[in-house]
Amino acid sequence: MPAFCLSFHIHQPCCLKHYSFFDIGETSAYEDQAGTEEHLNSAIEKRILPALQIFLKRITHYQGDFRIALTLSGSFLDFCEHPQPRVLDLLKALADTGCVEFLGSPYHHSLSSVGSIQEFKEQIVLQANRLATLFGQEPTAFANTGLIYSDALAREIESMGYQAILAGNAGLLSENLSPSHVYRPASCATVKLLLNRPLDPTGVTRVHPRGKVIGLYCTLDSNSETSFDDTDILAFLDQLPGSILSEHKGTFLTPSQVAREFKASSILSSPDFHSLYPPHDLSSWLGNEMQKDALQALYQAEGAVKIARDPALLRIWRLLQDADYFLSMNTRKQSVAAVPSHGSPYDAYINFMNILTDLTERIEATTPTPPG
Amino acid sequence: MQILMFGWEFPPDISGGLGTACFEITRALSRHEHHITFVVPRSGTPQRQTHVHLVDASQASVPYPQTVQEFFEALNLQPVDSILRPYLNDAEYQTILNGVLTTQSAHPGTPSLITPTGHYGATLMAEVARYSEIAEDLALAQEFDLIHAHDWMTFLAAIRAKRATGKPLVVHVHAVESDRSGGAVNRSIFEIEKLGMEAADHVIAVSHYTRNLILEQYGIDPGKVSVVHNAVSQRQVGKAYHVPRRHTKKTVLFLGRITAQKGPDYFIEAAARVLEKAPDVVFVMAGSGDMLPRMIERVGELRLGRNFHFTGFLNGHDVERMYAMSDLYVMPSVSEPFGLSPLEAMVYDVPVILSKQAGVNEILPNAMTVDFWDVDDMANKILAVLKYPALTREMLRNSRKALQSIRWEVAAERIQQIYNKLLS
Repeated sequence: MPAFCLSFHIHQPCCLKHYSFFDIGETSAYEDQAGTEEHLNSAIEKRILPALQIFLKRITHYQGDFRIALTLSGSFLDFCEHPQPRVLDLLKALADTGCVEFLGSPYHHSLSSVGSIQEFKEQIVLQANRLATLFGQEPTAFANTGLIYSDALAREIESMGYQAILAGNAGLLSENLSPSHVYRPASCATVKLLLNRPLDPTGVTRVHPRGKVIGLYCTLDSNSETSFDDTDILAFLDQLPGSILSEHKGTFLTPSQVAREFKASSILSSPDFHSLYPPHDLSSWLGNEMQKDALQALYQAEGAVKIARDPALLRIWRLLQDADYFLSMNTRKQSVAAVPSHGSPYDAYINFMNILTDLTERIEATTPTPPG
Repeated sequence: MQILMFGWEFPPDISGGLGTACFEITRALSRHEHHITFVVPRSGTPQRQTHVHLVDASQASVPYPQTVQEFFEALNLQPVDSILRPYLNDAEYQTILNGVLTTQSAHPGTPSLITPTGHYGATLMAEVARYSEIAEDLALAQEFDLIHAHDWMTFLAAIRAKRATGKPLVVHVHAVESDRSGGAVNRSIFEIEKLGMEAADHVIAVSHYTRNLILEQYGIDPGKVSVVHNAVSQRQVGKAYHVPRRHTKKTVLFLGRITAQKGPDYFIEAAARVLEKAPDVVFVMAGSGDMLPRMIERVGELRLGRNFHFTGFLNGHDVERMYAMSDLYVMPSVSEPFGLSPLEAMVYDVPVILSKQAGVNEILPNAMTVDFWDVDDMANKILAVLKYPALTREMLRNSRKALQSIRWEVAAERIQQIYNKLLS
């Protein structure tokens, strides 16, 4: 029986206000704090807090045999700090068990790995520092937004000292390779690649696992693409450790433990971007003209916002990098955005671009124009 | 199958989407070996000239296996001498009637398109009644299996034809009175609509929006009301893409009847807001209607004249040119049972902003929509389309995709199924 490697992702985007073209230059209040808190509190009460309580209960009960990894966005931790200190207390208690590994990720649940490698690395450092401060753990395994992955990203992540990277298995493997092995990313020397399938409460018990390690990835966001009915998933999470440990005689490992215990079975190459979500590329976030344009416009402001050295502007610029805003501009029907949108994908794009236009004007206003 | 069809208008003399819809439906149906007799009110001379014109307009129809000749052999166009026009109210009817009489007296000797005659009805309703009598006589002289009538003005004629022959009746509802009147419902028209739908063996609504009105306002049995969406001609699609823009200033277009139903007043208010932020934008209001004078006044009051143009009523070629010149088409309709013109705008590669109330949204899942009354949001979206080019690219990408499946053949197929059910 193989080892199971469970990772749970928690993030809640900031709700944006309805921001019209006529607001540009008039007001710079972009964040809908009341809306954000309402969604966050609801997600915490219904799903996040009960799930964390189940993790703590089961870890205590199985005395170290049940282990999980958590990937928490910095934005989520920021929101928790003020209105929901209970969540932070529970997360710290989980950290103290020694059975929870906190994964590195871009701080703002951003698409920076696609938009700007410089920004990507800065956000990874921010996130690592935050985790160290809160939980006394330096992350050594990495889970990008939506498990976005490529050979080039693997090299960057390896250069930052990480030992393991999570990626989705579907669409990444050629037919003769097993999803239940550990791989070495092409042109990397040390870092190992752990493949994950989305955790499916209806399907996992039917898996007859072969190989060495089964990676399962689950998001606990309020509306995300892989989430299920709250009571169903909570009951499932409660039974999962017992089912695997007793009935299947399996074991649990965290991603860094997997990287230490297993050798890479072969090299796996992914020159193009790959992600967890069907069709396993970037098209959920960057499949249409609006999404591509918004991303380009956003990262074009990077140079100026960093020269401006205004923490408030930098904070907003980073907040706007949230991948969920790009999801809400998706025109494919099957995609569900986690961020409460202002109507259609067009509305989401217009709102985003109006805000970005205002922000860009504010950034430019802080930068003295060079003479001539 | 032989079909006796009653319509209001037929190209090229059309003032709205109804004429286009009738033309395209009959065209697509006649390809299924249906022989259609199309009865239409027309004042004056027999329409030989019209036929010639029609043939010209249709010669672009290469993708159709059917020749234009075959189409016209299948279609028996039967003009009934009448000055009825679509979308008339009684006051407008009086104007037309007076015009006819004046023309008669002013040019007693000159040949005119208007037959010199004093026999038209004194009121709109009288003329509708007179028309239905003539239409019935005409119907009795034809061989047919089924009657298909488009909108209220033809319903009395169709009911008489049904009573006289016992043939099944399909009424096709392109709009109901509350759509056109904006609340001030003309009871006589409402009653004729109700009578027609009750007498019908089957009712076709152009959208779910219209179907709901039929069920709610007229209490028609839901089991006999089907939705058949309108479509857009694919030969137009092939022809019109990539019309080069010849101007530098961004142009925003309103095209339709200038009546309360179409929301021209909201368009002007939105334009005023847009011009505060983007003083170079040009707005065009194309069409005519009872609200036109008031709209011109309003543009003056707001001092928008430099950026706001009225074209009056536009005909075929000018409509095409107008679309081709535009960067954005806005349809702020208060009530829009379907709305063919946005599909035409899309054919010309013009992005469209639609009223949320428009039935056409049912077949355009990726349409950009606004509440007609929310002029701030309308202005916001107009500015966004003009300012963020990716939006236009995305909207055109989506509309090209949508247009591929919005075909008259599909509509005709559904209508044929309804025919078959009634005759089996």
